[in-house]
Amino acid sequence: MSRHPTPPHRREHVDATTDVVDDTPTIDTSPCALLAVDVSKNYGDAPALNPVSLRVESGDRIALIGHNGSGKTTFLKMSAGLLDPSSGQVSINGNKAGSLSARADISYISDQPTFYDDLSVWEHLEYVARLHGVSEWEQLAADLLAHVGLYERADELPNRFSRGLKQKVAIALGFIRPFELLLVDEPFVGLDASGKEALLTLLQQASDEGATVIVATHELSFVHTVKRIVALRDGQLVHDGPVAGVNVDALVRNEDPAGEHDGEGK
Amino acid sequence: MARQSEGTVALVAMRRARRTNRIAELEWFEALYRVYLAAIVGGGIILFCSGLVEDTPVSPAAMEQVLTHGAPVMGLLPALAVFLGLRSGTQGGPVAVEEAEVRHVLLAPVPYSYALRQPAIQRVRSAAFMGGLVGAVAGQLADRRLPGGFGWWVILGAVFGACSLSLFMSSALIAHGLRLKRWVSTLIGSAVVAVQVLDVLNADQHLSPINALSGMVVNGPLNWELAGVQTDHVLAAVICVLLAISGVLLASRLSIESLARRSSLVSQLKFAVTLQDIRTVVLLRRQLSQEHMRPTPWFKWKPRRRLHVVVNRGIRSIAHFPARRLGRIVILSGAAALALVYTFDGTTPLVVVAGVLCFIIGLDVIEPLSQEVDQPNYSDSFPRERCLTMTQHLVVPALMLIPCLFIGTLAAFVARPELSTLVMSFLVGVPAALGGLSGAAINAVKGAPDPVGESNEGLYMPPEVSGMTTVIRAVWPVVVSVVGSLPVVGALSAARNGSDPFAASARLSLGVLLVLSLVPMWVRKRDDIHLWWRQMIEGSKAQAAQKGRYEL
Repeated sequence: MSRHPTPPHRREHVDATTDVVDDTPTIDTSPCALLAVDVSKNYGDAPALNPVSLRVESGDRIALIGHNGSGKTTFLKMSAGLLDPSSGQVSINGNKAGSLSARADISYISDQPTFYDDLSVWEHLEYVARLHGVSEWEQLAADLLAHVGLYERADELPNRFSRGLKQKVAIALGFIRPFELLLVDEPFVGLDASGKEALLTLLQQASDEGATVIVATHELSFVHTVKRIVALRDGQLVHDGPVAGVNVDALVRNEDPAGEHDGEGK
Repeated sequence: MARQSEGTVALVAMRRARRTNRIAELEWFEALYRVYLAAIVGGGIILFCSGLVEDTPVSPAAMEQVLTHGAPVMGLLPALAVFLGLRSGTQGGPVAVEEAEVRHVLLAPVPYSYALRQPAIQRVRSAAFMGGLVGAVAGQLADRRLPGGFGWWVILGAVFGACSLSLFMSSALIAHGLRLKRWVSTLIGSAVVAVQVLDVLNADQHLSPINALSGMVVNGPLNWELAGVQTDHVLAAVICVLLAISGVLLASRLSIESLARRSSLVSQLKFAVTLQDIRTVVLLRRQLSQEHMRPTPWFKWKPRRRLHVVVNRGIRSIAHFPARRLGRIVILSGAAALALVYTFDGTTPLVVVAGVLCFIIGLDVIEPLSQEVDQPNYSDSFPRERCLTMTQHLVVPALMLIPCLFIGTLAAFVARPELSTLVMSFLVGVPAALGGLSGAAINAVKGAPDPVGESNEGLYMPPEVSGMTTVIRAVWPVVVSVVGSLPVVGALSAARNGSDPFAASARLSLGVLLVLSLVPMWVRKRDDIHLWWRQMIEGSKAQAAQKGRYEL
């Protein structure tokens, strides 16, 4: 690609890689809610995530941000066990991501909800709850459906729902099971105002109950409720720290996140 | 652990409930109708194949050849099954589960041994059933010419077929479960095939253990009829079963990443197959085997001013072809040439194989045109006729067939090292290659949106005829491709009648080329033809309505 002219924003920040967080030297590798050590992912020849190390303590509430293609979904999927890392390792409470124990501890809400064609919303909730060993699930299911505004549609097939309604069902499924670590990928996309509000409440409740919550999002209303943000750019960890003083907009728009350096943080 | 066992119980219960629901919702009449159709189609194919096989028993000399070379030759089938299975396993095959199953079951704390064993067993079971069916049919055909009891031919043919296809599945499951690297599986598979090929070439000493399995179907019926159960054949079948069990046991080690990737692709693939949408099937197959275009082109092509922009774009497309596709084109070119050679040697049905292979080559080389059709938003936004662009897209694929022709000629010369082979290769190869391209072009262009906004298909057609039209539309491109290979049959016929095969094939080639030249003309005028057809039908409708009013 070097034969193509350099775009304007790159010309201004040719040395942009210098602000990449150098996470390699020391990371405490003792068990914690989520521990990623030098984890990378390539799709064929294309690197999606360069070696990234991250430590998330139990009860943390984190916003994972970055522009499209920055590696957020890849990181979350590797943490959930849906993708195998090309190198490095992700562990959940000391267990390898994707192992039986790790799966018992995680709830992953994808940005692309998928459902069985032949199960209603209620049947989905029952199935997922029982797969996770929840025997008293009916009241929780009813509460969750009422919360996301789907109680009246519990007997309908979710595969026929609109994008937003599917997202609401996915949220209910994510919360019907017990979990210690909640991984959520772009949950606000397609949701109406009431749906966003319901989700924010559920996320807050999960945090209050001691769960670790990691949400990949561009939604500022959520980003401003967390104490820690992790930012990825072009598959590299470019920020891991408090939200204060960081130009979130720049991080999301694939620009130099210089907010913390030049004082433009919002 | 309590949660695990509860999850497993829930999984088993829900699968049972879903199966019960599916059976309850089954439209029995429709299911019986499908079985009826399948029986008619299957019966037709069996009758056709039976017609190709003579009823007269083979001569003692031919029987001697069968007994000497039969087992290694037939052993190529299971050897190829192992090779393809290993490759499939390293690419994430052969199990595919529902997308929802990946998201909800495989992310739940349920052991994969429970969650994935059933899908793996289903795959092995259906493959063995299909192999058994084909093997039984082939067995009864073989019985018409070879000695050995009818029952033994059918039974051992079925066992051989079932074992061969289950070998594919077990190889794939083992390769996937053990997470073999692609190069390792290719190496092992190639070694298996290479040893089998050596056995075919060397009649004195056979090395491959697969011969014990293939021997079952070649000399088994005769031996079993005369001497009872043959231990080596039974042992070979038992080993196949053990391999299948090993594969199923390794299902718990399948990669969830591969399952997630395949789950959506396989469901789309099944849907595309039901629609007879060959282009989508090709695209999904490429995605399943992770055959992506090269990000870095083989060569940097600077657009030449003298060349048209569409031709330049086509060359750039070819430059991004992955190595695997180029390799496939080379192998298929050789295989198509060999099929034509053996057609000329007397095995006439191989002309269909040659035509199909040329069609597959055509599907590969016609990528620039297919991409244009896949992206109608672009082609419709250009300030020029879409059909003109599509016709110009035929230039580069046609040029790409020239090296294919050379490869085919080389393969034919290796099979029959005579000067006449070179001449015949040219006479027969050019129309065959262009036939494949024409078939692929028809297949690609018929997928383009109709210029008048609605498909002309189905107009004034009752549903029964519409279904048949869909089938014809799917088969038509392959037929055109086979027509391109027909000159070799003319040459064969001339040789049998004692006349000059070269003159005969030259005349036929010319005729076939004239017919094939209609294809680019159709591509160029397709939109106009559709528009004219539409207007004519609407005019007829208006006239009929007018007439009705007068009569009233």
